[in-house]
Amino acid sequence: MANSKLSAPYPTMWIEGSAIKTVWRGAGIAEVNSALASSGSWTNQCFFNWGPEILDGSIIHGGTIETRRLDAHTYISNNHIEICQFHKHGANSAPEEIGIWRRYDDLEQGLTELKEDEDLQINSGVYNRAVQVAAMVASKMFPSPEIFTHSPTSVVFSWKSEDDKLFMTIGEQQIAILIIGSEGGTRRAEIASSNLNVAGYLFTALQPIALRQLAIDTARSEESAEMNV
Amino acid sequence: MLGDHIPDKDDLFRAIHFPLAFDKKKNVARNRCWNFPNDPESNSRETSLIWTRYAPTLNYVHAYGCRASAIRNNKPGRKTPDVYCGVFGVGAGSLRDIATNAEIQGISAVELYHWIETEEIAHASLRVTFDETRWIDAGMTEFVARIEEVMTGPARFAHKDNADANKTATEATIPEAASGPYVDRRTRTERIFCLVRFYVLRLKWNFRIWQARRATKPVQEIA
Repeated sequence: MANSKLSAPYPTMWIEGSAIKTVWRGAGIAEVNSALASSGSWTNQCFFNWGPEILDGSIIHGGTIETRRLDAHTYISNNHIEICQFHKHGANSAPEEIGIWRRYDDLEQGLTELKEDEDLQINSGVYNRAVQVAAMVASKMFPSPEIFTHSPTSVVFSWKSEDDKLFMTIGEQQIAILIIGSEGGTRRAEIASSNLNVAGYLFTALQPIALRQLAIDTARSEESAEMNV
Repeated sequence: MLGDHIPDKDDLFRAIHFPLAFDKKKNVARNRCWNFPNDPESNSRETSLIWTRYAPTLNYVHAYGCRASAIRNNKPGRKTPDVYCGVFGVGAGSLRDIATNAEIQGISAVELYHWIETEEIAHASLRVTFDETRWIDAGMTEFVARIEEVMTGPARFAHKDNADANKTATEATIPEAASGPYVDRRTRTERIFCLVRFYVLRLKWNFRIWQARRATKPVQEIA
C-alpha cells in the first residue's frame, strides 16, 4: 500500500458546471507521482474531478488519459480535521489507499496550540470557526494552509504559490479573503463567517486561476455574499 | 518619552526572541514575530522596533536585544528563558509607504515614532490606525503580509559567552526574508558619521532620562 501524503503546495482549481476541478502543480506533482509510482507507473499530472458524492480521478499517463474511480471522505468529528483519503479501485482488487492529506494534522495541532497559548490565546469561538473553515477548505481539496498570524479575535490561514499569496482571516463573525498577486494586484472580499457555503464558494472562486478564467471580481463576490447572507 | 522624528531613509529592526517569536517546533512564527497586541478599545495596533539612529551598528542592535532578554529573564516566575536570536530589518520609508502604495483599505495612518521605553533610547513604535470602514484584523493581515515583502534579514546573533543560549538561537529556524539578507549599505564615512552622531545624541538623551528620573524620584519615595 502506498501511503504517501499529497502535499502539493497549491492546486489550481476552477468551476466547470457543477463540478470543481483541480490540478496540482510544481513540487506537489512530484510527491503525487512518487506516491502513485509505487503503485503503478503514472507520470505527468493528476487531475481529480468530483461531485458531491463521488470522486473520479483522471491520470495523464504518457499522453494517454486513464480514468479511475476514487472515493473521497471528508468529515468532521469532535472538532478534529480528518481529510480526504483516496482509494484506487482496481478491476479485480480491493480498494487501495493511495494518499492521505496528512498535513492537516499539523494545522489541527497548530490550532490547538493557539487555543492553549498563554500569551496569544484565541477565543474559543474563533477556534471553533477556524476548525470549521479548515474542514470546509479541506472538503474543497485544498492543501493545508499555514497559520499566518493570529490574535484573540482572529486566525489567518495562508497559501502561497509562485504567483500569488492568498490569506483568509477568520473571525467569529466574519471571514476576509485577500489575494496578493506577484504583479501587485490585490483582491479582497469580506463575508459573514456564519455562512460557510458562501465562504467555500468565494474561496474557490477567488482562486487566482479561477479569477482569470471566470473573471469574478471582488465586487461580484461581495454582491453574491450579500445576497446569500 | 517622545523623541525625534524618524526619517524615511533610516532602517529599523524587529527583534526575534525565543520562545516569544516561535511556535512549538522552534520555527519563527509571523504572528509572534510581528505581534501587534490586540486592544479591543482602540482602532490602532502598535508594536516595538529598534531604530538605527540610536543603535548605529548591528553590535548595538544585538546589545539592545540581549538587554531586552535579560529584563524578561529577571522577571519572577519565568519558566522558559528568553533568548535573543537576531533581527529582521525594514526601512522606515517602506513601512510608511505600505499604506499608500499597497492601497490597503481602511488604514487611516501608519505612524513611526521614536518612543523611549524602559530607558532604551533606541526604542521606536510602529502604530497602524484604521478607520471604521475596515475590520481591523483583516487590515492587519494585509499590513503584515506587506511588511513581509519589504523586510530583510535575519541578522542572527551568536551568544559566544552562553552555550545554552547559543544552542537555542542556533537551533531556531528563522527563514530568510523575502527581500533577502540584511545588508548595511552605508559607506564607511557614513557609518563613522552615524556613530559620532549616536555618541552625541546618547549624551543628550541620557541626560534627559537622568532629569526625568530625578523628577519622579520623590513621587516614588512617597508611594
